[in-house]
Amino acid sequence: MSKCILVVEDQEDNRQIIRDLLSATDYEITEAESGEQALEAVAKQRPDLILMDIQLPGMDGYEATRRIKADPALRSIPIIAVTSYALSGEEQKARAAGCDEYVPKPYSPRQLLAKIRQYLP
Amino acid sequence: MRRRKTATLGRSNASKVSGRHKPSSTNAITKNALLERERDEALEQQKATAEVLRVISGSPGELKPVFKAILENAARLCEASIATLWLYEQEGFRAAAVHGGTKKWAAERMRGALLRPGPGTGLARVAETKRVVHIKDMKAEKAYRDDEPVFVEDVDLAGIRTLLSVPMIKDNQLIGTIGLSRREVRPFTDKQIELVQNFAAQAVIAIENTRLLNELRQRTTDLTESLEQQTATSEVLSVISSSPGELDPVFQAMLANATRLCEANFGLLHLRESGAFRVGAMHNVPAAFAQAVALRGPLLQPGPAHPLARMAAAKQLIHVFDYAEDPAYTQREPAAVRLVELAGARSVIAVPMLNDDELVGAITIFRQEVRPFTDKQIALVQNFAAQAVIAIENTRLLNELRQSLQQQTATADVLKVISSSPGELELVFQSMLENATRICEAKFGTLFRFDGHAYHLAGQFGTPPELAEFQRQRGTFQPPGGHLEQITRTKQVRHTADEAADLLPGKAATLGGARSTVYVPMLKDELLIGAIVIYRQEVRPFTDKQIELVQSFAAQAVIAIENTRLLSELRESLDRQTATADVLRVISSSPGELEPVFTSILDNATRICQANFGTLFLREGDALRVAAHHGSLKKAWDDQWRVGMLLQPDCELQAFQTLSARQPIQVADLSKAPSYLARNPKAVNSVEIGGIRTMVTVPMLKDGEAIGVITIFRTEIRELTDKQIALVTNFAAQAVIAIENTRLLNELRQSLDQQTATSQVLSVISSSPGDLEPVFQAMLANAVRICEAKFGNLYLHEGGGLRMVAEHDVPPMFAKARRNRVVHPAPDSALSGVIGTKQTTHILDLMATRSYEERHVSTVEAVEVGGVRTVVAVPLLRENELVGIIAIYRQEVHLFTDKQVAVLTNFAAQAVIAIENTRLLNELRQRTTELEDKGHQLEVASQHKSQFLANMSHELRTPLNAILGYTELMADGIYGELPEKTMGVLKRLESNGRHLLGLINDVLDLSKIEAGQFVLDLSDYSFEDIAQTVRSTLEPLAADKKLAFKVEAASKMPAGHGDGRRLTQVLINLVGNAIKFTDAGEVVITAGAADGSFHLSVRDTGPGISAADQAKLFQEFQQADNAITRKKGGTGLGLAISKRIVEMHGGKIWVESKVGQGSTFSFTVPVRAAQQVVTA
Repeated sequence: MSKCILVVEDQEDNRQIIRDLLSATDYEITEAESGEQALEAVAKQRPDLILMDIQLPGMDGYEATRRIKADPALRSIPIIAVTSYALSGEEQKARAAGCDEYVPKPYSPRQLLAKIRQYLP
Repeated sequence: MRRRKTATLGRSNASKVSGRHKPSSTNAITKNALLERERDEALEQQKATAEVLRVISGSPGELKPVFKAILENAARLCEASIATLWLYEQEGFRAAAVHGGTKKWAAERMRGALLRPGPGTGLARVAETKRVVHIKDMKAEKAYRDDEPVFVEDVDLAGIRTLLSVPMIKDNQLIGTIGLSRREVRPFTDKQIELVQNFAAQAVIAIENTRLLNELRQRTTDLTESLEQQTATSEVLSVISSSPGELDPVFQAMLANATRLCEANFGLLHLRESGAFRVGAMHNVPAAFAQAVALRGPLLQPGPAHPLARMAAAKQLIHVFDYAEDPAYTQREPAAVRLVELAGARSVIAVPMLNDDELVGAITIFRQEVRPFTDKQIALVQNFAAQAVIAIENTRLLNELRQSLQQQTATADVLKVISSSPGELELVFQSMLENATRICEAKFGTLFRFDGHAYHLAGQFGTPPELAEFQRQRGTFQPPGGHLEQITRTKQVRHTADEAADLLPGKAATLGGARSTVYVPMLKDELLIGAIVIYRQEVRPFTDKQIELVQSFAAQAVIAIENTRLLSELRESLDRQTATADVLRVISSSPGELEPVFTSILDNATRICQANFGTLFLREGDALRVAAHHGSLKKAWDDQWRVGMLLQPDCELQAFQTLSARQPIQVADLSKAPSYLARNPKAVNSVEIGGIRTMVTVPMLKDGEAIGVITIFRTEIRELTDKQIALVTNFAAQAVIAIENTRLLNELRQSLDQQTATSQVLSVISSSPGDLEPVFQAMLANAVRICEAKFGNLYLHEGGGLRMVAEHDVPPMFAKARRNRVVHPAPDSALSGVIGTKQTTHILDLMATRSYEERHVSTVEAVEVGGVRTVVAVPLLRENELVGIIAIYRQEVHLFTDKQVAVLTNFAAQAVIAIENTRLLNELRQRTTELEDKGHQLEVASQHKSQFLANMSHELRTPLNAILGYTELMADGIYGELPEKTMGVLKRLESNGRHLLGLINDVLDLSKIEAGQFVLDLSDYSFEDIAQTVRSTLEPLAADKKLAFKVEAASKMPAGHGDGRRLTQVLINLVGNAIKFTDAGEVVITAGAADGSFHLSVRDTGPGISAADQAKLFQEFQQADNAITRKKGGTGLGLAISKRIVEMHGGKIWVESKVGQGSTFSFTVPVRAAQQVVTA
């Protein structure tokens, strides 16, 4: 059964990139464009990994992460925070919210894929 | 008992008998007869017993009649012919009574010889057995056959045949027997034996009674004797005690009692005197003898044979049985002869009176019969002798005691006088002389005092009038000769037995009738200060004791004189002290007030100097002003010397002379002084109107300068003693001190006043910072008070005029006039003066100014509305700018003192400070507010900045993510194979994108730095990771340029703690630069750790950097060479950011380079960067 990755990203370009990146893989993708959508998606179908953008309209990625991680059923899902907030302390913030990984933008898709493979071999 | 029984028996039988009257048989009659007989017998016995008892009681103590009675009755009742009562003593028998028998036989018995009867005899047997012995027939006894003498006597001489011997037993002891004998052989009946036993018992009792009675009698006699003696003794003792010290009655009583008790005829008591005897008392001596004794003379010198002499020699009692046979008499010793022939002395005892073994006298008791004295009597006389000795001793002691007491009393008397009138010598001397004269049993006495040169009379007692008068008139004298002169030289007592016997008798003898005299010197520590003389008008030398006594008085007189002297001194001293204390008290009780002090000083000084008048002058310039006065003379004079009057300098006057000489001057008689003789008006005034004679002037010196003069004067000519002048000098000094104190005190007060005012103002200033009004108020209030002014204003200088901003006690109208108005002071007014000169202006009388004359509005206003006369206006200056004016006004013409003006100036300064403070305070407040606002703004700005940065970061990176992302994907062939050309282009796209990212990062970093938001993210890192990152990132680039890429790291690099990411950034920056600027060669990274720091360098073989450029390297926005920059690209921010990062770690970054020789960029960071270092 192929792994499902939830991509939470509000920018179309960025979503496209990941889509394209992961098209060559056998990961399945679901997308969400906001924190709320993310939660809905997670509820609908439990992903095996979440790529969480932080700057999101409405509920931001950290809040969504916190909610997901608060749910015992969903806690084990690895969440990789992807953010272009480059201020110091950002990584701590991400981890504090419960993210398992932190990837600053712009990222190299190759490297991102490598990271994803770490969690979903 | 038996008796009774017999009697009873008899009686009852009798009644029985009389009752019956039966015709009796022979037996009955015989029985009756028997019974009757018994009864008769019993009666007889009773009668006998009763008789014996009667005899016993009738003659108590006499046994003979008792025995006789017993024997008689016994013999009769027992029908015995002979009865004998023997007493048993010393194992023998002695007949005590006999009844019957021949005379011869009786006489023989009664001779009283002690018989020791041989064994077998009745007596012996009784003695042995202590039982009745009943010999039926003596003739038939063995004792008779043995020729026992008593036995034979009894039988042959007395014809005794039957013998009954009944023992007399007492306490189981045989004390005698009663023997009954018959001339026929007829045994005694049992009854008879009983009877005799009864008698025996009675005899025993009788004997016992007699013994007891005799004992009793003896005792009674003894007691009576004893009592007699005691009575005699107590009589003597009572005589002794009733007339203590008088021996005569004692001796008399003693002799009387001794003689009586000794049953003697007369007695003599001699006292030993100088080896002889003097008659002390005589009792009952025959007249002839007494006469002879009187003729003989008082002293008896007995010859050695005389009993007295013998007694004296042996110190023992002499008992002469018969004086007529005594050797003393036979040798015709006169005294003995007298005694025997004139007095009829026969038995004599001479008893010595011994005091501690020393013979002091003798008692002799005489009988006119030859009858020796009993031991008891001798003992009695010895007792009296002892008492006599005691009496003599007591008398002696008593007399001594009396004398001593007398002396003591006299001394005590004198001492009492001394103590009761201390300092009054006359009374003391009087008392002394009285006592001395009396105790010495003299007639009169004199006390002289000696002053070193001459004598003078100091006391007389009992002196005969002529002599007394002479002594008094004499006055002081130097004795031409005689005793006093001797005493002056020798300081020894002079004792003259008879003055009249002198060749040149002195006045004492001729005028006073003095005969025996004693002159006793009065010495004080070997110094002669007088003499006491005691005179008798008879020739009778004084005893040593008496002279001693006078010496004692002399010593007391010395003490008294000394005491008086000391007392006077003490009084004086006390007086002075009291005066001084008085003055000091006044000084302390009214500090700052000089008048009471001066008055007190003068009061005390005049009193102690015993003067009446005094004046205290204070110097004013060269003149003297009267400051205090004591005592008033005539009004006319007084008026000239009132307090406050000024005495102009006049060198003729004593006061001024003292002033310039700075020494006390005493003029004994002013009327003879040059100033008076020269008719100096003031002097004349003093002498003629004031009546002044003696005057002392004493300077009051302060630090050697005369600041005043005290004069003390009298209206009589009597100089003051040195002591008194010294005292006045002392007072002068005190006056100076008082003046000084007052001055200091006033200064102190003023100072304190000012301080208080100042501190008040300051406290107002501090309590209402920035609030000037209360400050000015307080200031003015204090200023006006201290300056003793009426009211004051404070003006601020504004717009060329003055605005009143504070007022104190300003008259309402005036205040109203000035309030809220800018005053333009008139020229020549106080205020304008200040404005013009910026100096204090002081106007004595505003009304007298030109400004007022010219009717300038403000001046007129001040004078007429404010009532102002004297004004002082003080400027408030700040940096020489007139800020305001304080004006203080008086409504009287009275200049302000310099001190007051100084105070005002002080206040002015304070006012300026206050104003300045307020201004500054307000400024401060404003600035603070501004700063707060700014701070607030900055805060907001900062927040905005952060937000902005965050946004920018996001905005810039997001598209770049797309660019780079897609590019990479394309390069990875996600969208299909791409021709090589396209790949190349893609590569360049990617490279540019990366570059752009780098630039954006740099810019963002810089922005952060600018915003102060550049913060290190401290955590553990490993150098290896960093190196790895750097290598992986940059090695390809190096490879692209065909540059060698070397990493030379120490083998074991410690774990680091800091911002690993940023340090990576630094290293990438440096290495990146190295690669960028090096075209050929190598890039070498060296890494090590030492001393707690990492040490990294990046060496390249690039072109090198010039010194000038090196300076600019790490600054922002600058690249070494713009040309190169343009060629190589870059924002020039990297090194600045790297520097920031390194320094924030607490490290250092630098470059070493030479143009054409490559560059080495190095930096150090602490291995453990604990916290971000704040960098500029």
